[in-house]
Amino acid sequence: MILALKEALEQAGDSQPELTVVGTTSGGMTFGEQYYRDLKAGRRPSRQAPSLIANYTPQKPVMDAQEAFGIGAPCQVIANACASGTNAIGHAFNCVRSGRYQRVLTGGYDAISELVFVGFDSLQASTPDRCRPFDSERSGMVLGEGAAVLALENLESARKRGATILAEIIGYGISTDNFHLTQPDPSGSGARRAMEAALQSAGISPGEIDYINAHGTATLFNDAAEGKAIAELFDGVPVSSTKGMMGHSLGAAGAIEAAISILALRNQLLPPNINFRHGDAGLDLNIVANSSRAGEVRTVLSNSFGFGGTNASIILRSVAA
Amino acid sequence: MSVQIAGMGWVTPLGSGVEEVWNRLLNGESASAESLSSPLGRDYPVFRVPASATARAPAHPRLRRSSAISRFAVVAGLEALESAGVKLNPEIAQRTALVFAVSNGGVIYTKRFYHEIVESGVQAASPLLFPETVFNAPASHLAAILGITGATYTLVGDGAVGALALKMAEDLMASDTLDHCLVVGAEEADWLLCDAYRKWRLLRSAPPVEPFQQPPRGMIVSEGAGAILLSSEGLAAASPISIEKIASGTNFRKQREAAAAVEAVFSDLCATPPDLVVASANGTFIDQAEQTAIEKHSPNARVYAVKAPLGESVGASSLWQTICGAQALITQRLPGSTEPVSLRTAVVSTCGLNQQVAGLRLTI
Repeated sequence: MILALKEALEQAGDSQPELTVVGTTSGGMTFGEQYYRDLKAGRRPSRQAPSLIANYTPQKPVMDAQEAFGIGAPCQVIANACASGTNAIGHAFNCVRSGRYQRVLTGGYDAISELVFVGFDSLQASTPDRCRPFDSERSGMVLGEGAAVLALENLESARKRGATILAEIIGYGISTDNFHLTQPDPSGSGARRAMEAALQSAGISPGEIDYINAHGTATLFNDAAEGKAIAELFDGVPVSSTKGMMGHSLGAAGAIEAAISILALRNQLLPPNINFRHGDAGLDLNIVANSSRAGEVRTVLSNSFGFGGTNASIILRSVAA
Repeated sequence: MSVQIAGMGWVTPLGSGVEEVWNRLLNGESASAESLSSPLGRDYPVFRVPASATARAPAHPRLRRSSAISRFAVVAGLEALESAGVKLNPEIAQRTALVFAVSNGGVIYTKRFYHEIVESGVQAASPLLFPETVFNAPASHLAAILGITGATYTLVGDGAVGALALKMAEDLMASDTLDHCLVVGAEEADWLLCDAYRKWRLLRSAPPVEPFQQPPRGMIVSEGAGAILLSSEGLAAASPISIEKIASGTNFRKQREAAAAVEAVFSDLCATPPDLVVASANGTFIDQAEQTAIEKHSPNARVYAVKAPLGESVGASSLWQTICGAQALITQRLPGSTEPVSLRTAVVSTCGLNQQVAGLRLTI
């Protein structure tokens, strides 16, 4: 978080936020694990014990990062499973768009922990192979970790102070699909409703999307449901999941993928969906297979879906100079 | 922006039902401590929710293996909707958001899941338990039971997280796509939490909890849920209580810095001194921080500390405090006072144990 926040603040310049909205799934789980192992081993409580407890709480890394840069904004830490990062950005966007806030820091973070790694393995959601999003022979995800931070600011305010504007967020959609705690509705209806809501929020049609950065975890269920929803809603829009390259960083994923989407807009380059061989039969998707592709990219949609049936989509657009 | 409280519900160690528990508080009752034994040989007093308090939970498949948090949340959430006269058909549910506040999450299942890994190796990890360890599992169950298909958020934080959730709800309600926002805070008690708070030197070895006593002698961990339904004007049964202002507050790094953070929140909320302060004082360093702010910004206000009779329920606590503030304004009564009192405004102060501070101002 500290490194990501440092980079974001350096790019944003003078950008003291009024609010920070960050997503995570497991917070400081590694500290909790250490605490429990010490306890079970019968080790005497060390002077470190209170800090292990404090660092276990999900808000602590965010506040530590803020403290490092003298930021005292209140923190809203969203834990909407793997949609957390996109939910955080989407909510931050709505806060600015409504005029209630001028500047909001947002993003997501997660670090790999034993509990989470073993948990996904127990669900057979992790692959012993490569991560192959949307491939017909996909067999699961590879976990990742990291953080990304975006400094959001009211467009007028950013222009007035001469900030370099990297992109504009123009839409956000959220839906809850109550099918199952860990599986998406196979019809793709939850994913579709989130994307439709984002399009409506942006006031644009599906035909205006130039690229989709998919959630694409490479699990059987996610890619089938998301792929179906994309194929039904869009007509041949280029799609890639960057999780084959970055892994699935859970609460950070949506924020990292928002940053990738911004880079796609700025570089007019579609990032590849690596390790792809053949798509699912009957699923008509324009996958950016294995190599990046140059293209005219003005508007990007980025998806994140998570346990609990949380679905989130944001739409980003290039900003004319 | 002022928002209306349309409905309220709670599950507490003194039972469930806003009227029932409020009357017990007015009668001066406190929760009874139950001893939770740690396998490591230490006993901890906790205020637990009696089984009768969740007897009204619906027989829904999602609740078969869910955590206690989920059951508490469902009972409190349903009471809030019922008291507001809101029935969630698919159309209304689509225009209803859920904001769920929690601190430690499903700690019992998380501990059990990890315990099996530690004791027996990764092959013993249960795919049934893992999904329940995720922070948003209770919100997912609640959304499924209520049929909410739009926005669902889980916020994590410390004892101030409920107030932060209300602030988020207020921000969400600024959109014309929503008619209602149900805010639910919940927590469950476990020996592991007690052990952690003991090592943090925040836990008391036995009741009573004595807010504002010096030196502070510690808190008692409790559990339960609180739920508040915010509605757009005219869409729920008439409610006399408004949230006039929510201060999303600030953070403090060290305990000794808490006073300045609490004072900043009081400064924001007490331009006109309130008649009542519902404090988050729980027998820890929080008490002194709040006392300083109260003396400076609302020296004549009556002060009520609900964590004395109900304990520290972390994720649920801000919602309990807000419900107490609303009930005091509605009934013009306060626990500890046999005579009716005259109350028009209440400030709810929420200072958490781990760096977050927020608050809100209620009016009738």
